[in-house]
Amino acid sequence: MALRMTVQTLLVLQAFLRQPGRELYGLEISEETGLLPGTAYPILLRLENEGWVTSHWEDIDPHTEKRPPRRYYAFTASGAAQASAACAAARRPKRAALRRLAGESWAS
Amino acid sequence: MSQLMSQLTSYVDANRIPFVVVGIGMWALPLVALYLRLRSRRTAAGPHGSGSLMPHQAGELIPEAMRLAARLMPAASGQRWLAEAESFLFEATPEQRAEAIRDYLSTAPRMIGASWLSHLANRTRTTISGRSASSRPDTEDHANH
Repeated sequence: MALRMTVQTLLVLQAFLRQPGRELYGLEISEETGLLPGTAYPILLRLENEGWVTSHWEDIDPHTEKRPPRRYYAFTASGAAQASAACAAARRPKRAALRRLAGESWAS
Repeated sequence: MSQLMSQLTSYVDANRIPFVVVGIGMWALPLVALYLRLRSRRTAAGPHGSGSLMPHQAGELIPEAMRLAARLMPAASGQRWLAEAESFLFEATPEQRAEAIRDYLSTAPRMIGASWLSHLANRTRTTISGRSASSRPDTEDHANH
């Protein structure tokens, strides 16, 4: 099933694309995208189901680190390429919108 | 309880169970959504700052309504959702935490629906692949004969 490219999905992809090799966890993703975690989480799940990102629980001792483990997300090998293609496509103005704009300027 | 279940299953034809489940879901989900939305409005900044909490107490930051929402998801999805929420809320500031809890609760009904859909899709996929795998040796046998 094709991924629906909402503005929120694009924001999450752009956060990963800033440093494609980097792993991000919930709070970081939320801070980088401005999305709240309840909104970002289903997007991450969808991206993971589609094979664009992969995730894993951090292997730490919570008592030593004084915090619970984080779940880290990162692009898969194909995910980064697919994401940059999706972001580029989203930046391209839609043909219909251009035609409408051209029609309006022609009419005026 | 088991008596009630056996009575219920005797009324409902096994083939109709998926439709009954979807039917119940269609009625139950809006009610759950309404309940969670009301709870999220009442939820203030969360119990207290995480500064005084130890990691094993992170669960205390999760309001009861979120636990209820997690229980309505398939077990694995609910546990993962809660664990991620715990991890997030533990590291968030109190202001971020209040907003996050409201957001978790308002998106929970969609999460419940989506997690069940993906759970059912996975089960269907494994059933189909299991059937095709079990039927494959037969076809190979036929081919050999």
